[in-house]
Amino acid sequence: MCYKRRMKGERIGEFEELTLLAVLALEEPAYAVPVQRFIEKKARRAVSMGAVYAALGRLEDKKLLRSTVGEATPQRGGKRKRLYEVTPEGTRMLQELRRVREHIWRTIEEHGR
Amino acid sequence: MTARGTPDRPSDRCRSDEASGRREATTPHEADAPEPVRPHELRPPLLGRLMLRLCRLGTRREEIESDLRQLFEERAAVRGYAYASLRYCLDAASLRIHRTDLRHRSLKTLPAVRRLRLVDTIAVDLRSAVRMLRTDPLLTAAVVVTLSIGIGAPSSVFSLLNGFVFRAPVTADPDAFFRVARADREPQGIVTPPQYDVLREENESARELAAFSTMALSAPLGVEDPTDVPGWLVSCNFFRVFGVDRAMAGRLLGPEDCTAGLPVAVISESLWQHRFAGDPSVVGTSVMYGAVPVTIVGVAPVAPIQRRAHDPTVGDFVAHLWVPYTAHPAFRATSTFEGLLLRDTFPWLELAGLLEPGISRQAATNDLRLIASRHEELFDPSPERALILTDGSRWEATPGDMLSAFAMALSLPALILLAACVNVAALLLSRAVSRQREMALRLALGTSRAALLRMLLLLESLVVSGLAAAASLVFVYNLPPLLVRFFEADLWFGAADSLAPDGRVLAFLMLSGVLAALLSGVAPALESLNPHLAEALQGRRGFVSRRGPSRTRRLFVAVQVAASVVLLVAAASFSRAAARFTDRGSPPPACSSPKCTSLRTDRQRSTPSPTRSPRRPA
Repeated sequence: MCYKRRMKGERIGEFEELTLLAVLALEEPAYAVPVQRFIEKKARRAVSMGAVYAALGRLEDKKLLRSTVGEATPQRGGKRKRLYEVTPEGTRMLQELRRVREHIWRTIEEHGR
Repeated sequence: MTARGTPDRPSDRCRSDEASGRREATTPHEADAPEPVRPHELRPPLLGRLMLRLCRLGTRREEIESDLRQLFEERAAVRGYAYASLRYCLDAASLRIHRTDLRHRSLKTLPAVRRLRLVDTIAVDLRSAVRMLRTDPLLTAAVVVTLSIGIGAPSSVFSLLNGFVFRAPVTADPDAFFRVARADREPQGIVTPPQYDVLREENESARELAAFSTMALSAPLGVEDPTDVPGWLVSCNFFRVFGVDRAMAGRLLGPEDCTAGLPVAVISESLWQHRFAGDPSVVGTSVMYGAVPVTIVGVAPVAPIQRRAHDPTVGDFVAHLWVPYTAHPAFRATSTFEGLLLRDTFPWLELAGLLEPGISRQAATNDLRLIASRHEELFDPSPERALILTDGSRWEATPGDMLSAFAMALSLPALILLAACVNVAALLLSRAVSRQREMALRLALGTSRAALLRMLLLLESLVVSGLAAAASLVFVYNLPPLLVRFFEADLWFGAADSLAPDGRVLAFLMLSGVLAALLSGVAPALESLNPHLAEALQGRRGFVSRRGPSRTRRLFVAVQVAASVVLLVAAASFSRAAARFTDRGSPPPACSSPKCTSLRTDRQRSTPSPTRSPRRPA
């Protein structure tokens, strides 16, 4: 993991991008469970919780997410959740990724493929 | 099985929402679920729970377990227990796979965890320190006793100075109390009687403004006893300002006494008991005070009062007779003013008062200065004669003089502390030499020097200094009252019973303890961290250089000898001064200027009293 992080630097991988998008897309307060459900539903693939926690942690390390510990609620037996939100840097990163992808797709379409 | 995507059977969606209470509870795999299981009957599989238990999740364990439990219940509700159990186990296994990231997040980057780790480390060091202290109790006892003397000496002196410098002049309503000083700090009074009348009439910031003569009356009371009784000319609200609201017999002075200007007097409780045996019939009688017949109207207990607010060379004053200041013409021949000073043009009155609620001393200062500027014919407009309000302590009146007093008085005890620390450092150094092999082994095994330094400082110094500081409380509680009683110096430092250490003294004690820990512990600790590893590990002397004793220890010996010589000389000087002081019963003159001479004359004339006389401490 550390090796991968060094190789990628401040860039993010595909699963991290999905995780970041999921946090941004969720209307409810985003914690690991809804993020996992959202990715499973939208990407139509099984996602393990370990991968979700790891991705959330890496994104927080890269300052693209920030987390706070939420208040205890009657749900989950009063256990508290770690709530995530996307930082301005995270939003900028997603917009940049989208711009690059759209640019590439436009190029492909121009070539008529 | 339907196509992957959102569940297309309404019943599934309903069950999902029921189980989780959430909008997106269903997943593509969960759409065509068998009969749901009720959440309250569910328990994750033993295997999954075991795997989860084996994961090192640190502080995030509770959060992650709750997440997995929630997912498990939702999946079981939608797709059945078997599917939920399988996913639960897979999730638990995935936590093991991604453990590097989880541990990174949970154990290293969370500030709370970092603090916990530090607390853990310090606790281990402290336990180690206590174990080491118990292995050599004799050495520990010697160190604690030496340091407690070193810490107790400056702390006791500070406790005395605390009473002298910061003591509140009144116990009732000290926040509202104020004294008035002059910017030039000249050792004379503050205002003339006409100035006092103007300030009292026109000020809006003080609910009481009292005046009293800067010097004392002194004459025999009655014809039987020729002893002079110190008296004071005061305004008629004097007692209210200094917290006396009721007479023990008769009455206090009232406004009518000041208006009439008749020589009536209130006497002190002490004089009443000693001279009149507490006889209440003394009230209303007329006795001669010097050549002036005065009528005793009451008896009041008044604590000693600092006579001049801005003169640190004058101790507190005990008066035994109070007369309205408006009766001063009758006392010109009786007073230490020598008849010349009791004039309306000479400032022979001191001022004290109580502020109106909500008025600051600065606002009151401005108020008094404004009044002074309105009456230029009465008040000197020069800035050095400007009025200043203080809280009544010597610190606020003359901070520069008080700092000098602190520096002078603490220099000798500081030397005692230094000598004690050097002695203790030498003792600890010998212990460090005996532990050279242990230190070398720790260093060789990879312990950082910072960790060793922390351990040694905690081990050898902070714990021992803490014990010594606790032991020095014995000195701090007992020594200042003993000194005050021995030198009869309560008019300078406050009554012996009132010298219990307050927060300021305890803070100084703690500071001394930390300083002692650093002075006595840093050098041995640094010395311990510089071994010749190979030699030490082979059992030879790793700390001692081949050329002989280390530079640190040679320095210690030099400092110790120097401090001891200085201490011996200072102690001898102190003993001689103390002997001279106790023989003569009065302090040697501090200076020979006319100012000091006048003060001494004033003091010598006003000291005789039925109970005690103020003395200057050595």
